Amino acid sequence: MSQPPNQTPPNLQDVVTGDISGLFDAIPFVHWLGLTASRDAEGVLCVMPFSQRLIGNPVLPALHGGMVATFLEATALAVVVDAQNDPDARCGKEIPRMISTTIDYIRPAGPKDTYGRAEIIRLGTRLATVVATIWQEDPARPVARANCHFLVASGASSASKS
Amino acid sequence: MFDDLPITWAEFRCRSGRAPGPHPGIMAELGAMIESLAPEGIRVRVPYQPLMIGDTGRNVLHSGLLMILLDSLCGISIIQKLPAPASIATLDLRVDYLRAISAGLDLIITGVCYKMGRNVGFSRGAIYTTDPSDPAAIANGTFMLGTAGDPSPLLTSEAQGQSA
Repeated sequence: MSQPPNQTPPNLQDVVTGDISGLFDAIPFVHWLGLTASRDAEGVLCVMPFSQRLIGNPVLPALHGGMVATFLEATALAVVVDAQNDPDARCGKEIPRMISTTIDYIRPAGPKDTYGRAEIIRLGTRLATVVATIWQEDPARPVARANCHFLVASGASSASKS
Repeated sequence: MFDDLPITWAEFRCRSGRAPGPHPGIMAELGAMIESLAPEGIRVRVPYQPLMIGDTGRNVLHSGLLMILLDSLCGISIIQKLPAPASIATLDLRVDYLRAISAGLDLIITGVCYKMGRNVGFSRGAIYTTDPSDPAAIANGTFMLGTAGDPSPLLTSEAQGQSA
Protein backbone atom coordinates (compact mmCIF):
# COMPACT_ATOMS: atom_id res chain seq x y z
CA MET A 1 0.00 0.00 0.00
CA SER A 2 2.63 2.52 1.03
CA GLN A 3 6.36 2.38 0.96
CA PRO A 4 8.11 2.09 4.32
CA PRO A 5 10.18 5.04 5.49
CA ASN A 6 13.97 4.81 5.57
CA GLN A 7 14.96 1.64 7.34
CA THR A 8 17.24 3.54 9.71
CA PRO A 9 16.23 7.19 9.94
CA PRO A 10 18.86 9.46 11.44
CA ASN A 11 18.44 10.28 15.10
CA LEU A 12 16.48 13.50 15.44
CA GLN A 13 18.61 14.71 18.33
CA ASP A 14 21.76 14.42 16.18
CA VAL A 15 20.13 16.42 13.41
CA VAL A 16 18.99 19.13 15.80
CA THR A 17 22.63 19.92 16.44
CA GLY A 18 23.64 19.54 12.79
CA ASP A 19 22.73 20.70 9.29
CA ILE A 20 19.10 21.74 8.76
CA SER A 21 18.96 20.00 5.38
CA GLY A 22 18.93 16.61 7.10
CA LEU A 23 16.09 17.48 9.47
CA PHE A 24 13.12 16.15 7.49
CA ASP A 25 14.91 12.89 6.67
CA ALA A 26 14.96 12.23 10.42
CA ILE A 27 11.17 12.59 10.73
CA PRO A 28 9.61 9.49 9.11
CA PHE A 29 6.21 11.02 8.31
CA VAL A 30 7.68 14.22 6.84
CA HIS A 31 10.26 12.20 4.91
CA TRP A 32 7.46 10.02 3.51
CA LEU A 33 5.67 13.13 2.23
CA GLY A 34 8.89 14.25 0.50
CA LEU A 35 9.33 17.64 2.20
CA THR A 36 12.77 19.30 2.11
CA ALA A 37 14.45 22.09 4.07
CA SER A 38 17.56 24.07 3.16
CA ARG A 39 19.32 27.30 4.04
CA ASP A 40 19.69 30.17 1.59
CA ALA A 41 20.58 33.87 1.85
CA GLU A 42 17.16 34.69 3.30
CA GLY A 43 17.13 31.90 5.89
CA VAL A 44 15.43 28.52 5.88
CA LEU A 45 13.42 27.60 2.76
CA CYS A 46 11.15 24.56 2.82
CA VAL A 47 9.63 22.84 -0.20
CA MET A 48 6.68 20.48 -0.53
CA PRO A 49 7.08 18.97 -4.03
CA PHE A 50 3.72 18.21 -5.62
CA SER A 51 2.53 14.64 -5.71
CA GLN A 52 -0.93 13.19 -6.25
CA ARG A 53 -0.88 11.95 -2.66
CA LEU A 54 -1.25 15.58 -1.47
CA ILE A 55 -4.61 16.11 -3.24
CA GLY A 56 -7.68 16.46 -1.01
CA ASN A 57 -10.21 17.51 -3.65
CA PRO A 58 -9.59 15.88 -7.05
CA VAL A 59 -12.41 17.88 -8.69
CA LEU A 60 -10.85 21.33 -8.33
CA PRO A 61 -8.09 19.96 -7.86
CA ALA A 62 -6.75 21.30 -4.56
CA LEU A 63 -4.25 20.17 -1.93
CA HIS A 64 -5.65 18.54 1.22
CA GLY A 65 -6.08 21.07 4.04
CA GLY A 66 -4.20 18.73 6.35
CA MET A 67 -1.25 18.56 3.95
CA VAL A 68 -1.11 22.35 3.91
CA ALA A 69 -1.19 22.24 7.71
CA THR A 70 1.56 19.63 7.89
CA PHE A 71 3.81 21.68 5.61
CA LEU A 72 3.23 24.85 7.66
CA GLU A 73 4.13 23.05 10.90
CA ALA A 74 7.19 21.43 9.35
CA THR A 75 8.36 24.82 8.08
CA ALA A 76 7.88 26.37 11.53
CA LEU A 77 9.77 23.46 13.12
CA ALA A 78 12.70 23.80 10.71
CA VAL A 79 13.13 27.48 11.55
CA VAL A 80 13.06 26.79 15.30
CA VAL A 81 15.61 23.98 14.98
CA ASP A 82 17.82 26.20 12.82
CA ALA A 83 17.73 28.89 15.55
CA GLN A 84 18.47 26.30 18.25
CA ASN A 85 21.55 25.24 16.25
CA ASP A 86 23.18 28.59 17.03
CA PRO A 87 25.56 27.68 19.87
CA ASP A 88 25.15 31.17 21.32
CA ALA A 89 21.36 31.04 21.35
CA ARG A 90 20.02 31.28 24.90
CA CYS A 91 16.90 29.20 24.41
CA GLY A 92 15.50 25.76 25.07
CA LYS A 93 17.50 23.21 23.06
CA GLU A 94 15.21 20.20 23.20
CA ILE A 95 13.52 18.89 20.07
CA PRO A 96 10.49 21.19 19.70
CA ARG A 97 7.16 19.62 20.58
CA MET A 98 3.92 20.98 19.12
CA ILE A 99 1.55 22.59 21.61
CA SER A 100 -0.95 24.19 19.26
CA THR A 101 -1.36 25.45 15.72
CA THR A 102 -3.86 27.87 14.22
CA ILE A 103 -4.08 27.99 10.44
CA ASP A 104 -5.61 30.53 8.07
CA TYR A 105 -6.28 29.20 4.59
CA ILE A 106 -5.97 32.23 2.34
CA ARG A 107 -6.14 30.97 -1.25
CA PRO A 108 -6.76 27.63 -2.96
CA ALA A 109 -3.61 25.51 -3.04
CA GLY A 110 -3.34 24.01 -6.51
CA PRO A 111 -1.59 20.88 -7.78
CA LYS A 112 1.92 22.31 -7.86
CA ASP A 113 5.04 22.70 -5.70
CA THR A 114 4.63 24.70 -2.49
CA TYR A 115 7.28 26.79 -0.70
CA GLY A 116 7.48 27.90 2.91
CA ARG A 117 9.31 30.26 5.21
CA ALA A 118 8.73 31.09 8.87
CA GLU A 119 9.47 33.89 11.29
CA ILE A 120 10.20 33.35 14.95
CA ILE A 121 8.10 35.71 17.02
CA ARG A 122 9.71 34.62 20.26
CA LEU A 123 12.15 31.85 21.20
CA GLY A 124 12.45 31.49 24.96
CA THR A 125 13.79 28.92 27.37
CA ARG A 126 10.54 26.95 27.34
CA LEU A 127 8.39 28.22 24.48
CA ALA A 128 8.76 29.12 20.81
CA THR A 129 6.11 31.12 18.94
CA VAL A 130 6.42 31.03 15.15
CA VAL A 131 4.44 32.34 12.18
CA ALA A 132 4.85 30.28 9.00
CA THR A 133 3.75 31.32 5.52
CA ILE A 134 3.53 29.16 2.39
CA TRP A 135 3.02 30.06 -1.26
CA GLN A 136 3.11 28.43 -4.68
CA GLU A 137 4.05 30.82 -7.48
CA ASP A 138 4.32 34.23 -5.87
CA PRO A 139 5.61 34.78 -2.31
CA ALA A 140 3.41 37.90 -2.19
CA ARG A 141 0.32 35.70 -2.68
CA PRO A 142 0.44 33.23 0.23
CA VAL A 143 -1.90 30.24 0.16
CA ALA A 144 -1.88 29.75 3.94
CA ARG A 145 -0.37 31.00 7.17
CA ALA A 146 0.04 29.37 10.58
CA ASN A 147 0.69 30.47 14.12
CA CYS A 148 2.52 27.68 15.97
CA HIS A 149 3.53 27.21 19.60
CA PHE A 150 6.29 24.73 20.46
CA LEU A 151 7.64 23.53 23.79
CA VAL A 152 11.46 23.65 23.56
CA ALA A 153 12.28 22.51 27.11
CA SER A 154 10.22 20.51 29.53
CA GLY A 155 12.50 19.79 32.49
CA ALA A 156 11.74 21.04 35.98
CA SER A 157 14.98 23.05 35.93
CA SER A 158 13.51 25.43 33.37
CA ALA A 159 10.03 25.53 34.83
CA SER A 160 10.41 28.98 36.35
CA LYS A 161 12.42 30.68 33.60
CA SER A 162 10.02 31.16 30.73
CA MET B 1 -26.71 3.60 1.88
CA PHE B 2 -24.43 3.20 4.90
CA ASP B 3 -26.07 0.40 6.87
CA ASP B 4 -23.09 -1.95 6.52
CA LEU B 5 -20.41 -0.03 8.43
CA PRO B 6 -17.49 -0.22 8.82
CA ILE B 7 -16.50 0.56 5.22
CA THR B 8 -13.26 1.80 3.71
CA TRP B 9 -12.67 5.49 3.03
CA ALA B 10 -12.60 4.78 -0.72
CA GLU B 11 -15.97 3.02 -0.55
CA PHE B 12 -17.39 5.93 1.45
CA ARG B 13 -16.21 8.44 -1.16
CA CYS B 14 -17.64 6.32 -3.96
CA ARG B 15 -21.06 5.92 -2.34
CA SER B 16 -21.14 9.66 -1.53
CA GLY B 17 -20.92 10.40 -5.25
CA ARG B 18 -17.55 12.11 -4.98
CA ALA B 19 -15.45 11.81 -8.10
CA PRO B 20 -12.31 9.67 -7.78
CA GLY B 21 -8.95 11.23 -8.56
CA PRO B 22 -5.76 9.73 -9.98
CA HIS B 23 -4.71 8.92 -6.39
CA PRO B 24 -7.05 7.35 -3.80
CA GLY B 25 -6.24 10.15 -1.35
CA ILE B 26 -4.22 10.20 1.85
CA MET B 27 -7.05 8.90 4.05
CA ALA B 28 -7.57 5.86 1.84
CA GLU B 29 -3.83 5.33 1.68
CA LEU B 30 -3.62 5.41 5.46
CA GLY B 31 -6.26 2.67 5.62
CA ALA B 32 -9.03 4.74 7.24
CA MET B 33 -12.24 2.82 8.02
CA ILE B 34 -15.56 4.60 8.56
CA GLU B 35 -17.09 3.13 11.72
CA SER B 36 -20.00 5.50 12.30
CA LEU B 37 -21.81 8.17 10.29
CA ALA B 38 -24.31 9.11 12.98
CA PRO B 39 -25.69 12.67 12.76
CA GLU B 40 -24.28 13.41 16.22
CA GLY B 41 -20.76 12.51 15.10
CA ILE B 42 -18.64 10.62 12.59
CA ARG B 43 -16.08 8.08 13.79
CA VAL B 44 -13.13 6.73 11.78
CA ARG B 45 -10.42 4.22 12.73
CA VAL B 46 -6.91 4.45 11.27
CA PRO B 47 -4.47 1.59 11.89
CA TYR B 48 -0.93 2.37 12.99
CA GLN B 49 1.86 2.33 10.39
CA PRO B 50 5.58 3.01 11.01
CA LEU B 51 5.54 5.88 8.50
CA MET B 52 3.37 7.85 10.95
CA ILE B 53 6.24 8.40 13.39
CA GLY B 54 7.28 12.00 14.05
CA ASP B 55 9.98 11.59 16.69
CA THR B 56 11.99 8.38 16.57
CA GLY B 57 13.64 9.15 19.91
CA ARG B 58 10.34 9.37 21.82
CA ASN B 59 8.62 6.93 19.43
CA VAL B 60 5.53 9.11 19.04
CA LEU B 61 3.33 9.97 16.05
CA HIS B 62 3.80 13.10 13.94
CA SER B 63 1.63 16.17 14.60
CA GLY B 64 1.06 16.76 10.88
CA LEU B 65 -0.53 13.33 10.53
CA LEU B 66 -2.96 14.32 13.28
CA MET B 67 -3.81 17.55 11.42
CA ILE B 68 -4.53 15.57 8.25
CA LEU B 69 -6.87 13.26 10.15
CA LEU B 70 -8.59 16.12 11.98
CA ASP B 71 -9.02 18.24 8.83
CA SER B 72 -10.53 15.22 7.07
CA LEU B 73 -12.98 14.44 9.87
CA CYS B 74 -13.97 18.07 10.43
CA GLY B 75 -14.49 18.30 6.66
CA ILE B 76 -16.59 15.19 6.13
CA SER B 77 -18.77 16.04 9.13
CA ILE B 78 -19.72 19.13 7.10
CA ILE B 79 -19.98 17.33 3.76
CA GLN B 80 -22.45 14.91 5.37
CA LYS B 81 -24.69 17.88 6.26
CA LEU B 82 -24.75 19.40 2.76
CA PRO B 83 -28.19 19.12 1.13
CA ALA B 84 -26.51 18.50 -2.26
CA PRO B 85 -22.97 17.50 -3.22
CA ALA B 86 -20.55 20.44 -3.38
CA SER B 87 -16.89 21.13 -2.78
CA ILE B 88 -15.82 22.64 0.51
CA ALA B 89 -12.54 24.34 1.44
CA THR B 90 -10.88 24.68 4.84
CA LEU B 91 -10.92 28.32 5.94
CA ASP B 92 -9.51 27.97 9.43
CA LEU B 93 -8.20 25.05 11.48
CA ARG B 94 -7.07 25.16 15.08
CA VAL B 95 -5.45 22.13 16.72
CA ASP B 96 -4.40 21.63 20.33
CA TYR B 97 -1.98 18.78 21.00
CA LEU B 98 -3.01 17.54 24.44
CA ARG B 99 -0.61 14.62 24.67
CA ALA B 100 1.75 12.61 22.49
CA ILE B 101 0.52 9.35 20.90
CA SER B 102 2.87 6.38 21.27
CA ALA B 103 3.54 4.28 18.19
CA GLY B 104 1.59 1.08 17.75
CA LEU B 105 -2.02 1.90 18.63
CA ASP B 106 -4.97 2.35 16.25
CA LEU B 107 -6.21 5.93 16.10
CA ILE B 108 -9.87 6.83 16.51
CA ILE B 109 -10.87 10.17 15.02
CA THR B 110 -14.24 11.81 15.55
CA GLY B 111 -15.81 14.76 13.77
CA VAL B 112 -19.04 16.63 14.41
CA CYS B 113 -20.59 19.58 12.60
CA TYR B 114 -22.24 21.94 15.05
CA LYS B 115 -23.40 24.70 12.69
CA MET B 116 -24.19 24.98 8.99
CA GLY B 117 -24.58 28.51 7.70
CA ARG B 118 -25.25 29.40 4.08
CA ASN B 119 -21.60 30.09 3.28
CA VAL B 120 -19.70 28.60 6.20
CA GLY B 121 -19.83 25.39 8.23
CA PHE B 122 -18.32 24.90 11.68
CA SER B 123 -17.07 21.60 13.10
CA ARG B 124 -15.03 20.00 15.85
CA GLY B 125 -12.76 16.99 15.80
CA ALA B 126 -10.84 14.85 18.27
CA ILE B 127 -8.32 11.99 18.21
CA TYR B 128 -7.96 9.32 20.86
CA THR B 129 -6.52 5.84 21.08
CA THR B 130 -8.42 3.75 23.61
CA ASP B 131 -10.33 6.15 25.86
CA PRO B 132 -12.66 8.80 24.35
CA SER B 133 -12.34 10.83 27.55
CA ASP B 134 -8.56 11.06 27.09
CA PRO B 135 -8.14 12.78 23.69
CA ALA B 136 -4.63 13.31 22.31
CA ALA B 137 -5.61 16.21 20.04
CA ILE B 138 -8.69 18.34 19.49
CA ALA B 139 -9.55 20.63 16.59
CA ASN B 140 -11.95 23.36 15.56
CA GLY B 141 -12.50 23.69 11.82
CA THR B 142 -14.26 26.32 9.72
CA PHE B 143 -15.08 25.50 6.11
CA MET B 144 -16.33 27.50 3.13
CA LEU B 145 -19.32 25.76 1.57
CA GLY B 146 -18.87 25.61 -2.18
CA THR B 147 -15.82 26.77 -4.06
CA ALA B 148 -15.21 28.74 -7.25
CA GLY B 149 -17.26 27.06 -9.97
CA ASP B 150 -18.97 24.77 -7.44
CA PRO B 151 -21.19 27.07 -5.35
CA SER B 152 -22.77 26.38 -2.00
CA PRO B 153 -26.04 24.44 -2.28
CA LEU B 154 -27.21 26.36 0.78
CA LEU B 155 -26.62 29.78 -0.81
CA THR B 156 -29.08 28.92 -3.55
CA SER B 157 -31.65 27.46 -1.17
CA GLU B 158 -34.54 29.75 -0.22
CA ALA B 159 -35.32 27.56 2.76
CA GLN B 160 -32.36 28.70 4.83
CA GLY B 161 -32.68 31.42 7.45
CA GLN B 162 -30.21 34.26 7.69
CA SER B 163 -26.81 33.08 8.84
CA ALA B 164 -23.16 33.21 7.96
